[in-house]
Amino acid sequence: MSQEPPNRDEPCDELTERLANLPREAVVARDLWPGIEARMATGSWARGTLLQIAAAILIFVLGASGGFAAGTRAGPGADRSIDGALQLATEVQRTGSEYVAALAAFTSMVDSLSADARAQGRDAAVATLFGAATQLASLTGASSVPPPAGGADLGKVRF
Amino acid sequence: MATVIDRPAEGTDEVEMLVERARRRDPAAFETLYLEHHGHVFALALRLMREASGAEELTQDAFVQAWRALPGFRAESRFGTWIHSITVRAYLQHKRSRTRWEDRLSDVDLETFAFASRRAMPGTDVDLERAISVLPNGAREVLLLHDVYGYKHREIGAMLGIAEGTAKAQLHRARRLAREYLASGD
Repeated sequence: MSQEPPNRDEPCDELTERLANLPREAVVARDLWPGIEARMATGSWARGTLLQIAAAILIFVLGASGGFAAGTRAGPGADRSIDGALQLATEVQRTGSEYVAALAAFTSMVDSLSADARAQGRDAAVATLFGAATQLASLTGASSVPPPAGGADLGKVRF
Repeated sequence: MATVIDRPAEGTDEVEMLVERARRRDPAAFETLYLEHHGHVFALALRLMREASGAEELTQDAFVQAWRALPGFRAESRFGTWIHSITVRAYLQHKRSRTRWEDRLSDVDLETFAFASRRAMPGTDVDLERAISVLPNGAREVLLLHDVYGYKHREIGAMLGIAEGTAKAQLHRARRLAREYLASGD
């Protein structure tokens, strides 16, 4: 088990002897506890904020998809479609603002997150942005959206 | 910072009491556990990450994850063993995440690692630390956990999410490569 001499389930040789004698404790150059303590306190809040971000992203995607589908179904020239389009445009603006606000909140707390949580937030943000850009390309008549600024570059966004 | 009580020895009733208090969300008890175990966690993290700042971050992540997982900690496992398995799991998460960790894990600067090893573990066998650090991913983790930290193949398989037979094969490979490296005198 840890911090005890290794199990010997086979004959020792010089290499295994040297490995078994390596130190199993190291000196840390700086005090790591304050960072741990801060994250212990903010952990549950951070997870709550991540859930809020996920919810905002879901609303945004559903709104955009629904709007696209409704726009496709509506016949040109119908009075009702004008009202519907205005309503959808308002919805796009509202959910887009929510997306930006959620992203700003995430960015402000990013120092207190683990690398894994940062990566999850970044991936969610990039995926949503890419989905929106694809819809926007249809709106403006472009055949497709090249991976934004090269997908690889966007994928390397660091929070 | 919370008031810290005296550091107890692993495996004692006092440790069990501390773990129980930490499970009930007592930060002072958890800080005492941290003081007792962070050196062991950092040594493992340094050998896994092969650079000091990454090892510090991994150590912090491991303790934060331990704090969050403590309510589910089962007393039949020793805290030292448990925090090691969390460290390995956090390391595997870092390897999978597409962040700056990826860059850190792809290459190792031998001289920087040797310097960090000497500073963190004075008197360590630096040639051997170098030989371990250049082992391929998979083989390195198994060699460390088995030959340095004394875990059994079954435990290593559970930590790394691999079959026991795979762990044995990786150990055989790692030892062969380490011997070759040491013999070459690089």
